[in-house]
Amino acid sequence: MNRINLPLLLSSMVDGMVVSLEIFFLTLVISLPLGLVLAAGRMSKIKMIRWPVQLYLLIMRGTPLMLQLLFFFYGPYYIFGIRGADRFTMAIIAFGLNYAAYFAEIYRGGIESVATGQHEAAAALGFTRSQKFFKIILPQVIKKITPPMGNEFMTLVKDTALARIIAVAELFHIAETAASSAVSVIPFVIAGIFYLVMNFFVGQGFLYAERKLSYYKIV
Amino acid sequence: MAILEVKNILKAFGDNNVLNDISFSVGAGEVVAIIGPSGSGKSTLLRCINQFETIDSGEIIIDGDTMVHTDESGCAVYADKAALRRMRLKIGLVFQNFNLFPHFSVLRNVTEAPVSVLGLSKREATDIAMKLLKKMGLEEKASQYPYQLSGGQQQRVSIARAMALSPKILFFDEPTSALDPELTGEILKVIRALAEAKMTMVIVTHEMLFARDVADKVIFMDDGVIVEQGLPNQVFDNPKEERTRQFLLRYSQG
Ligand SMILES: Nc1ncnc2c1ncn2[C@@H]1O[C@H](COP(=O)(O)OP(=O)(O)OP(=O)(O)O)[C@@H](O)[C@H]1O
Ligand SMILES: [Mg+2]
Repeated sequence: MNRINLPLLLSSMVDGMVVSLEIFFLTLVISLPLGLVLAAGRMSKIKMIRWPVQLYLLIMRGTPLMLQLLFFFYGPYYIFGIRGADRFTMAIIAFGLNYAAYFAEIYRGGIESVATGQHEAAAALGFTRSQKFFKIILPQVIKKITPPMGNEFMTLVKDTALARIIAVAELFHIAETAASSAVSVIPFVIAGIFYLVMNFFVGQGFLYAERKLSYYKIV
Repeated sequence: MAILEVKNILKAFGDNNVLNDISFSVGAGEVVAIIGPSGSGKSTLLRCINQFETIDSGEIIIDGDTMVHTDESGCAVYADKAALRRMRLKIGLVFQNFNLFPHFSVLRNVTEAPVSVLGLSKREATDIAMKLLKKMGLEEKASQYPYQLSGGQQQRVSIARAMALSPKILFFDEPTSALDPELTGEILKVIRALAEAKMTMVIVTHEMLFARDVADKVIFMDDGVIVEQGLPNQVFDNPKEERTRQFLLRYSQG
């Protein structure tokens, strides 16, 4: 058993955590807005829009994210003989497209759960469609979807570990490498603590948001 | 001049003819009560006038503007979008379930449309809203949220919200049906005050005593047709039609 150089290990694991956080935030930057577009497509009255979106959601939610990562990384080369972007970029794209599908369904659930009476009251008062959506519907949707979004964010923190399958040097990848070279579980324990800390902050953030939105109840 | 004219409306859901040749008019300052059994098409009629449903044929004229008419081939032709919007602003609607915006304070529920739809300044809208809330006896509730109010208070806010746009005509679809019996009185009182202030109103209601008392005209609907319309004492005390008699009899027996 090799002796572990703890300061060195910690500093490389902090580097890994930074990469994990980058994956986390960049995934959100892509998937939060893309999810809204997908939700709109999923709720479209036009079949030619709705059906492809439904197929997309089925594939993204119905197959392993790990498989999708491999597909995005190796697919361009194996299928077209071209090099895709670097592994980090491909990981972000795969995560973004995958999480957008989950967010789309959460958005849709939230939007559809707003009572039709709210739409009708807004229409009767003469609000335009976009005023109705942004002033009346969306705020209520945000309140409704905050708890499920919290779950999804926490899952994403842990899912970033999947990026190691295409050798992105994120936290888990570094822990794994260190553990096997040192023949020790200590790197895993440290990684676990790091994930826990990240999710502690995510959880606190959502608690704060829920408290902020608790000034009203949906009657 | 009539504020609302409805002529020969036909409306079907599939093969269910929900409105069958409905015609009536509402003059300025008039209060019209619509009564009738469940499923007779009262809500559908209000929903057609308020642009939530489209009619199959017939004519609806609001304050002199034709919202929809029927062409030679018998198809309902609606006015363009801008005109429909203009007409929508002339009419107000009070729902059975209030449908207040839960994320807005009472005050904001009333001011939001005047500000975003009519373009009033926040200050003007607040002035109007506070006056209306005062009339409704709710000024001290202005900063509260809908979930903090009783059903009767919520309904009064929703009336204030509709009134804030100064509609030419106000529609009520069973404004007291979602309320406990002891709360219906406060809503009826508000509607009565509006009637005394010569507000033009169409009220769908199951409150027969109230209808008789406050309405200038009563319309009895059954099975998608207007069976009888006339002065309250005429319809209630001397119904011409057997169906009206039967309905009122069932009602008076409770
Ligand atoms: N969106 C709809 N699709 C299909 N049928 C409908 C729809 N809305 C109403 N109906 C039908 O139209 C008929 C009239 O309904 P409506 O709600 O207008 O009656 P109502 O007189 O308001 O009854 P109530 O006193 O119970 O409110 C009913 O047979 C109802 O089933
Ligand atoms: Mg009804």
